[in-house]
Amino acid sequence: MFKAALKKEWKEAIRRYRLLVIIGVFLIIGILSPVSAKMLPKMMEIMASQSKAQGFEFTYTKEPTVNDAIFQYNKNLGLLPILIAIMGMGLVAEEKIKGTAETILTKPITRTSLLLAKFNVFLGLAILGLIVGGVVCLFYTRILLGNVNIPSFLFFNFLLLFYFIPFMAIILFLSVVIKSMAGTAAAGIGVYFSLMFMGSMPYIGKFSPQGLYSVTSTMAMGRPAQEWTIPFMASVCLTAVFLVLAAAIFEKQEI
Amino acid sequence: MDAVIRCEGLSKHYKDVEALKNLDLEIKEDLIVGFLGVNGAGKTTTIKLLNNLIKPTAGKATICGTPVFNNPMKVKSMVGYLSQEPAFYKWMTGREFLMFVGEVFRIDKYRLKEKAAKLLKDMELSDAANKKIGGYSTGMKQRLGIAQSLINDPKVLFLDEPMSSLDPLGRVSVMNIIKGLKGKTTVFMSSHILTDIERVCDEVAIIDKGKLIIHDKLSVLKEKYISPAILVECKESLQNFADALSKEDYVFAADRGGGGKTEGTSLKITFTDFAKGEIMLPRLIVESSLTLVKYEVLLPTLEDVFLRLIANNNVQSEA
Repeated sequence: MFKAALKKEWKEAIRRYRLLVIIGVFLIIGILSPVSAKMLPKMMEIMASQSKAQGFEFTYTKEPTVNDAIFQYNKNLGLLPILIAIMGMGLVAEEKIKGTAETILTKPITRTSLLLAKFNVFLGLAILGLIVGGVVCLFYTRILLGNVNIPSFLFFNFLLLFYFIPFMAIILFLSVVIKSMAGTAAAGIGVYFSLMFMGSMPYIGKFSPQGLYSVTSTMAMGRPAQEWTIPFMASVCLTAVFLVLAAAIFEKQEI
Repeated sequence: MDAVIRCEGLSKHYKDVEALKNLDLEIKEDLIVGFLGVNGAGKTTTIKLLNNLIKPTAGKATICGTPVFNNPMKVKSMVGYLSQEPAFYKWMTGREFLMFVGEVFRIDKYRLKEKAAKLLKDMELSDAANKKIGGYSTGMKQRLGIAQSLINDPKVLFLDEPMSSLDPLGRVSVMNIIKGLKGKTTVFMSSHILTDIERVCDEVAIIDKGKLIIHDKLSVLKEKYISPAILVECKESLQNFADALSKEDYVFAADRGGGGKTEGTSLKITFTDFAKGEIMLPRLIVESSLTLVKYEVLLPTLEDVFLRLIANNNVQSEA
């Protein structure tokens, strides 16, 4: 049953271009991050000459480094939860609105299996995206700026993944409880900004998934990962809580 | 024959609304049963309850002896279900959808391929099997809906208004498919298109305001609740004649105060005592000096039974 649902979800991700969009977005981020880091001094030079003509004067002397590319990559991926909210808004809500849930849930498949299949494919898309984006970023950074510390970069991506995962669980949960797709997306974006705000608060921040993003930001500046275990655990717990809640509520919902 | 569907005191309340009240129902094996009622009578609620899409407020139900609410997975593996407006994944082809549903039922891959091909052929969808469902017409979707509901060779098939959104050709096609299931599986089919029910069903259960009014064989219902009607057509206006008739004790229309259908020169008369009416009516026509154009005995229809029972239920509810 789960296998059939999983197969269907993958097919859907391919046929409805979700896979293509994810790969495309990560590909663009993977290319643009090192390229923009490399181009930044030149862009600043142009800006400086324009400013000089207008009476302002400033100079930009910093040489681009590998860390600049990774920092840019991390910054761009920080906005990914918004894409997750948009892509995941219909996971369950759409099935309920369109009536396919009614057709499928009268077959011998548990509602939890259906949810887990959706979550797994969503997770799979994120992993694939990170692999594509990471490899491309690594490749261009190496060509344009120099060697990257591979183990550190892998761990950096691993932490990024666990920064995304709770958002996926939250979106799945919202898609179960909110009846409209737009409402789910709006609530998801709201949650993203709330967690961002929570992450910036002292003491509390490290207990939120946003804490992981702070760790990856530190790593992107070339420093070692520090105090990542607490936000990592927070991320895992938050994911588990929202998945359990989504399953419990979905089991009780009347279709 | 054993009961394949059994409901005992099945009830469903939504806040202030009693969608289903203490439904006791027994459906025997291999019958096609029509589940009738006006919109909002509780037909869909009953079918959704029996398919575990909603939970009951009270009562229990079994399908082939298995408790519906305690062992939903076993029940789901034994039934087929077609919703009122069947929905599919538009990006899938008809064949893919059947394969997906079959995989959910864990049907062996080789057998499933054969089964899907046969169902597509039976439903006249072979040519469209590899087309995306998004491009199917309403009738094709309805036929695909029936195909998916039959993929597991269900012991019980629930069809919720299977013909409501179809054109006359589509209705005939779906009706023939349902007729073809006679003796192969138990079909529990809700509808408010009485002529369709009359054509395919062995038994009829009528529900009104969430309450089961009657459940019996179609022939028994007709015999028990409705006598034939007589259609009279004359050259003159029959308004005064209709008023006079309504005062006669053997005329049902008089009981209902205008239940007879007057359209200028024609009149349909239903009786509480048909035997007496059959003798008295010609006499009254002659006495009234009417010029008779047409005199026809109309056999009772399910619509007559339905209207009579619903009317009686309304009177009882008001009392």
